[in-house]
Amino acid sequence: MAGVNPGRAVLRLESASRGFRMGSGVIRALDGLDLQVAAGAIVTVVGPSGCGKTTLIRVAAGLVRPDAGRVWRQESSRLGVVFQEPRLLRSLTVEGNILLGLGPGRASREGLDRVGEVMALLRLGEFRKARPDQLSGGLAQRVALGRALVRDPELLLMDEPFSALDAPLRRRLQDELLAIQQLRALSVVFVTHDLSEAIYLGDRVLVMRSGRIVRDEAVGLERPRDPRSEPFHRIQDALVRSLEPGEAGPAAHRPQSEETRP
Amino acid sequence: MPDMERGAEERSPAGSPRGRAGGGWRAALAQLAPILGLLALWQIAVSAGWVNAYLLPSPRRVVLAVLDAGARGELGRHVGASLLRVGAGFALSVALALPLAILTSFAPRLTAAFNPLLTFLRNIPPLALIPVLILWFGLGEASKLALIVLTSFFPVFMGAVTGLGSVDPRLVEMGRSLGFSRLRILQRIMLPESLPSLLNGLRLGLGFSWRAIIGAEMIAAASGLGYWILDAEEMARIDVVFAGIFVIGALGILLDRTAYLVALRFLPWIDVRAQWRA
Repeated sequence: MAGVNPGRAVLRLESASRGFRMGSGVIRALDGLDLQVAAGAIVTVVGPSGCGKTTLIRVAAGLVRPDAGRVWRQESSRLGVVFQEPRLLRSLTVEGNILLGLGPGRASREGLDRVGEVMALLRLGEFRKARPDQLSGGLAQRVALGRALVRDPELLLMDEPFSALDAPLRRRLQDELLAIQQLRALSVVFVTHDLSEAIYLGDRVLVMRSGRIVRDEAVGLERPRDPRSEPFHRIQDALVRSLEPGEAGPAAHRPQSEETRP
Repeated sequence: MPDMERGAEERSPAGSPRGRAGGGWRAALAQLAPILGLLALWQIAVSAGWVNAYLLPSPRRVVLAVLDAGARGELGRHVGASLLRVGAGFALSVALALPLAILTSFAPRLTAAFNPLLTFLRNIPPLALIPVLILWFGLGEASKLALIVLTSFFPVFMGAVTGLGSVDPRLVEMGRSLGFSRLRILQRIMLPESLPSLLNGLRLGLGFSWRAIIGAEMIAAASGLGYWILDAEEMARIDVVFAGIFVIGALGILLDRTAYLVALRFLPWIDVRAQWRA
């Protein structure tokens, strides 16, 4: 966990709640969630589908406002978001899509230089002029990562970015992400439904259920981590239990989809 | 290129690579054959006296009429006048339809309120409005342009509205995550993404404005292909009437082809071939 600065937070959510109307009821995607992310840390969030992980990312990114509670991001901190799908613009080349990350205005000389750097970092150089529909899933997601990285973000919010990829490719991108994170001292919130991925990447693994964090586990393993090692398995076993329904977490807490909001 | 699972070639529509390379002239010939066959049959029917040559002039006479009008400069004058009218009317249509479509994408509720009215207007044949147009715009160019605009406005407008409405909201969210304003999202994301549908509307609109030319040039025109045909009718020159019809059809193909080539050249990421096959 070299480079983690626990004294300096880059992101804080305080009793953040957010509901969504669904039929006649309201789904509480976030239900008084507290979260603090220290500078330079990778925080992974794992939980079953529908537990509010994506909403957590969207609220943290400022894409949706919480109904209650507070979201605080360090002022002037640059933000990069990587979604589950690459969300590339088909009208632009790989280079154009990454350039988009710099913002809406005309690109400056150093902006273009940074695009070149990022493409080299992600080994996208030879695809510079390729269009999104010519890319494989792994390449497309790497372009999406490039679009976020070119902003030179301090905080990277990632919503199951590798979930659509096959296992070897996923591992490669995970390692690339770790290398970049070290290089740039990035703070990362990484949402996944894959427990092994969460432990492999995270300095901290948060287990989320029904809109709340039900477990916060520090992972003290050296990197590179070996998912087949004994200590890795121990953490995995401990966390699996808190992922099972009816285990760990606040026992009184139940999904509140029936509840209607005032 | 370990990650290039799907090459560009593999995805291009079946058959089109063949159409591009080598076999292009063969495909063109295959498309020409039915036309030539029909012309031959027609010529035989007239020559053999199966049909009244006054009601249906022979292809030879029609071709001669075209050549004759061409030689006298008449054809060029009429084509020029019609193209100019269609160009101006169509441009005006686009200039009206695009901003309005963009406006509707910003105000979906307002659009829904206007929907019945728009459907009402869309279903009125523009030709039915000729008396009104003459009354409002007079006998000059304005009423002709208005008719072309009325005919081509809706395809362009509908194409743009459909395109803007079907932009993936996740792309819009992506734009917001990059800090784009609504205007920038419109400009950088929504407009490019809606281009395939818009292109379809533009193509339809262009075809419609070309077809409106006869109606437009029925209004006290002194030039243009529509005028040429109506004038020939009055002179009982059925061969010239047919010549005018054929010139309009041929120029229609030419306009559509030009639009195709422009789209192919400037919108490489759109499957223009698939759109034009429809």
